[in-house]
Amino acid sequence: MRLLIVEDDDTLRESLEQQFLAAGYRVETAADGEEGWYYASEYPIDLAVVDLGLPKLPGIDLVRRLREAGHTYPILILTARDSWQDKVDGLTAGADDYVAKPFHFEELSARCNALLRRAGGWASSELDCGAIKLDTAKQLLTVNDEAVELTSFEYALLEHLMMRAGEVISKTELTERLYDQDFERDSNVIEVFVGRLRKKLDPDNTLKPIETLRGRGYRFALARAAE
Amino acid sequence: MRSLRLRLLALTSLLLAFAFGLAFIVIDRSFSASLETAERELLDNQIITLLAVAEPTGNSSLKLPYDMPEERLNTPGSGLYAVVRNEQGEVLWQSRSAIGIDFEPAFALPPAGERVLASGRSSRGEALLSLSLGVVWQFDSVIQSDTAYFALTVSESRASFEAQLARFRGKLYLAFAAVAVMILVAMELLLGWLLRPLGQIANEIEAVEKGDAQALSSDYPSELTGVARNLNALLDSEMKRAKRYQQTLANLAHSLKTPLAAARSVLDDPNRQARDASVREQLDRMADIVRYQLARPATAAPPVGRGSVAVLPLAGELLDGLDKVYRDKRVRAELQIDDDVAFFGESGDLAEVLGNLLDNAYKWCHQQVLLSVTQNNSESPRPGLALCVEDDGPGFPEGKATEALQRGTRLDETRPGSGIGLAVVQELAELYNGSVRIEQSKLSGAAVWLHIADG
Repeated sequence: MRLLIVEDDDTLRESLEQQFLAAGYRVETAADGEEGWYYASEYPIDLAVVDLGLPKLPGIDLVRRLREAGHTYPILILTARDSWQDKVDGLTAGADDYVAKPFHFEELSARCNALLRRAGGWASSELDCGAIKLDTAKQLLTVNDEAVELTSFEYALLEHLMMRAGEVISKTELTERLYDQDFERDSNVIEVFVGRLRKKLDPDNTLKPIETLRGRGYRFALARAAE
Repeated sequence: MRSLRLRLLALTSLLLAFAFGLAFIVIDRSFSASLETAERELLDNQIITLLAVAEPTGNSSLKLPYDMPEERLNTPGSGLYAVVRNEQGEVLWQSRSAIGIDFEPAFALPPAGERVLASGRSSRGEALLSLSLGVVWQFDSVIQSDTAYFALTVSESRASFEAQLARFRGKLYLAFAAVAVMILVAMELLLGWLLRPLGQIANEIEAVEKGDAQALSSDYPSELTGVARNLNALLDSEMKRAKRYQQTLANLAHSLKTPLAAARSVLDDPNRQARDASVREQLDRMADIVRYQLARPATAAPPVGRGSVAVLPLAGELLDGLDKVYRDKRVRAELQIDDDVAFFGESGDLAEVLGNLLDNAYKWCHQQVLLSVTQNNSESPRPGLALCVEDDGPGFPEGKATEALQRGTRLDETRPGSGIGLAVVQELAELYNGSVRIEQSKLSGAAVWLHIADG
């Protein structure tokens, strides 16, 4: 998942970047509203975390502009003022959630997770596709109720596929969302990782959870459990 | 023109100039008209005198005496002249005053029996007003009866007329100027007297600004007592606000000292994990303290001259926002608010109250939230509100309701989470002379009532 953090405080921005990276996200950062607008409109973003008090372009205007430009990904606003008027204004402008400063990273991360999950149409933090269940809060995968170990890249890939279970996701999109910008892009790498995932998820080749659609991409094929 | 005094003086001067100018023209006209009438009467009298003293002579002519009854006719160059001419315009007689002066061709011969008034100049260039009368004289003698035409002309120099008019005009100018100056001076004095309270207010405000005085005095004309009273109310509320800010700042600083001291002391703890946990705990405490102090009302009195905020749109926005935030819960929220229900105060305060209460309700509800607001049925220009937020959650534990509302005057007692929100609502309610009550909702959860008194 690719995150954009727009925050003008250097310490906080860098700390958030490190922590989100450690949590397995791809992260873009911007220090002011204009830079944020550039990243938010030019890069494939899954979620934006926007501080309200930004130089150059206020966070609330950035949110409004993004929504007007037709970007639908979830936006979480950070407010320092913690007044309800600010929160309401932010939500009305198009944000999906708010976190008041100061906050614990765990809280922010949980909220981001929830927003991403909701954007994929999941109501709870456990992505339940019957035999395969991915608990995004605990980052835990179970296949037929048995825990399966994943590397962080495998986890990110599976999370991305399962988050939008049933949808076709192109290789390009996966590369964009899972790699850093300057990483050598090689679609073979995705193929290799998908191959490894298949082995871990379905060693007996009975579930066939990940479909390959030639020339189009991949699809997580197991149906979502009824909620 | 920025000055009231200048404005009034300019306007008055303009009006005075217009009124006096008009009056001057009217008076001047009527005076010169009456002067002219008097002049004409005088000339008429002289003509009659001429007729009375004229004696017919044998050769069908007229003879007038050497000495005329009017002394001015006997004095050369006196300005009053009399001439008698015949039908051919030849001068038959002229008064001694007219010696050496030629009146031809100034005055035409009048038709018989008619008086003609004319003005012209004599051969000396003197401006004259003349009255001429044409008479046909019947000479009855033993030998024959004969008639002859004569023109009797009496002229008076305009000089005296002009002089009189000029004298009159001079006096009139002087009188008008004196009156105008008097009016303007009176106006200026009156203005000084009228505007003095304004100067006094300015001085007193300056004194308050400098800290020499606490409030404005109440010794003002009735038109200004309202202003002075409102200014005092403003000063009072500002003073309270400043005091409150000071207190808030002091509270904040003092209350931060304890966790700071605690954090500093645990730094010496050799156990790193315990140390980090402690510092984290103290940081959380500080964050809560700051959050609470920022959220509670900064003023002790409702803002002066507060406007009204429509409740429904704000409540709608809040519900839309919270629906997003709590999307997973699929809360069924209902509003029971009439369109015209208004809150008289800061919209930020209303947002704080509704936000905290609704957020709590969304957080604790099972699926249902109900917000109902009704305006007090009163005659007050700023009627209060009865506001109730209900949910179908577990409600407040027995006996904990009052605890949740406890004012966080002693900051150490504010607990993280729900404690802050309700305490803030409670403080805001008190700010607007209101109260908060917690009841059991018919939806099974909590019902938080907020009553705001008429303003």
